[in-house]
Amino acid sequence: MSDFNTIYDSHLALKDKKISATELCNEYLKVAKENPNNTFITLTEDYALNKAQEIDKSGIKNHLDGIPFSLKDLFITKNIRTTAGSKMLYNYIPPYEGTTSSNLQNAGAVLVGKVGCDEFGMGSSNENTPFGPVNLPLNKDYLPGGSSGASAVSVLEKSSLFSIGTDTGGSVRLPANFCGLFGYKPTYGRVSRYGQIAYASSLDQASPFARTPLDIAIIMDAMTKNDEKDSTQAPIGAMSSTSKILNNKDKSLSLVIGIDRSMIENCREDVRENLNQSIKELEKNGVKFKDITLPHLKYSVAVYYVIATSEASSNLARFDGVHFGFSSTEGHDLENSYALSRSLGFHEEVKRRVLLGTFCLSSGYSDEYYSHACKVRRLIYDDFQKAFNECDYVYSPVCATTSFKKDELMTPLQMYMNDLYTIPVNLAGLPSMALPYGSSSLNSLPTGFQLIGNSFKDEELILDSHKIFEVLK
Amino acid sequence: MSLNINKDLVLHISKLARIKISDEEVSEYEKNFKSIVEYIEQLKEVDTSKTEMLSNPMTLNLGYYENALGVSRKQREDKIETSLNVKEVVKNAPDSKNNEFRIQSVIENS
Repeated sequence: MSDFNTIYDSHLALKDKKISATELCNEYLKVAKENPNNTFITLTEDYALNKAQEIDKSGIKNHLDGIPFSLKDLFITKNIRTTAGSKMLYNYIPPYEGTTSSNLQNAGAVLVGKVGCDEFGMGSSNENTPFGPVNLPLNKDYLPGGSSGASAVSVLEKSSLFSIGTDTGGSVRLPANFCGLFGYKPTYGRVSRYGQIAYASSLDQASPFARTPLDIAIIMDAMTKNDEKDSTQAPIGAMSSTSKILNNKDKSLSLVIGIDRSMIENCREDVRENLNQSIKELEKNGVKFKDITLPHLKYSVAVYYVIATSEASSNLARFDGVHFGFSSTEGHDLENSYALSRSLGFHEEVKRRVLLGTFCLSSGYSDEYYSHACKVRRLIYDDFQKAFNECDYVYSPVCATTSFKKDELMTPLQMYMNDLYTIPVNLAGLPSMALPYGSSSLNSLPTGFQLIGNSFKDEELILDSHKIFEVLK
Repeated sequence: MSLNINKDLVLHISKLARIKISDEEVSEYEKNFKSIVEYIEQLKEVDTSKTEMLSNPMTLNLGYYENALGVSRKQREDKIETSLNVKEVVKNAPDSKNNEFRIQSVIENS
């Protein structure tokens, strides 16, 4: 096995011809084929090897040339099965290509396969899927978190050098935190959503997992090209954060970071200890922490479950058993066959959310629930804007605990509370980096924190995360 | 609680959502809904009389790139492009005939 495990180091090795793209690809494919943690739904072995051979012929130019990666199975890939982790799309072969996949492959990255997730991105455990739960490689009794858990695991088990998940309410930052990786949720509108199977369109953003902020920068630069096919994307051109990091000479951390200490007080003791330690370390390196209050954040989970389920009920209406996807032949007329196809094609959590969203939008209730939730969403946004008048970033836990065990029983509401600290970021459309820091004194599993920036401060946030990583590692 | 969640409401919602649910599931969803809606009810304590709705952050982002960066959001040019061919579109259909989607009967047999 090669002794480099970041995109950047692998790129240098490829460029110096210490390893060929085909050799590198074979190393990662070997793990992907063994699939020790039930990470992969569809393997694209021949496809990957062809691409790697092409790159060996044409030579290494871009940072992503010859870099093996995986995609959450929520990203459309032309002629490659895309299931959304659902029985509904078990045999779906997309006739078109999504932007996330095309951007990364055009930049030279080699697709190893499509990895699992909670069905349609709905869940925080990677258990809500007919393809079965994914193991946390660090301790197989535990889960990697979700919904993009398998993406995180593919990086950790070395079947990919990076992976792209989707973050609607924390679905990338939570598994990154549970797995000890970096997970980056961009500003809403920084990346295209074309060809990303929709869960909640005003919250969903494609988001990368990697081992360093520099790797995150390399991925984000490739993912932020203007895309005419998504009118919610800001037409402001691709980022150039890689060169900003590589050319950066200023190592000082003269930042003001806002903190609402009640958030830390509410974390489990082992997580709290490490968060406090990270704050001390950052202060030692020049960061100034400023106490702030974010009074409406406590409503985030309630707001999220109105808005996300409402949008889901609308987005998932397209699965009708007629145009594509699972179809039940039991219904004897059209109405019945819709209801049966959706009942048998969707798993429990998806049905629960579609039903809840249908309720929130139904006649007589939509003003009371949906419209009101959108107003509280605005107050959450305003809380952050007030904070950013006084500080560069907001510091927050990612989760109050470390990863949880496979057999831990939770009610739906308890499960939803895992996303308490990640959801506000999606509601306000802000960028946020989940950074790993330390491990738990209780179970040795990874812990970490997130830094939240203001809208479109993506390049600054990635550069500062790089500087912080340099002093904390 | 102001709202009475009962079996009839759950069945009504399942009909609207076109999701068939069994009798057992009705009780289970009724229980889930009660606790989730009870939790959501806390939003009612927030005074939003002077607040506008935020349904998508894009609406607030527009100001950022139009004012700060001078980039305007233009509509795409209205030009004709080739779309997917019919064969490819119906390829994933559970049932099709002559490149058309085939559905079950809509009108009852007399």
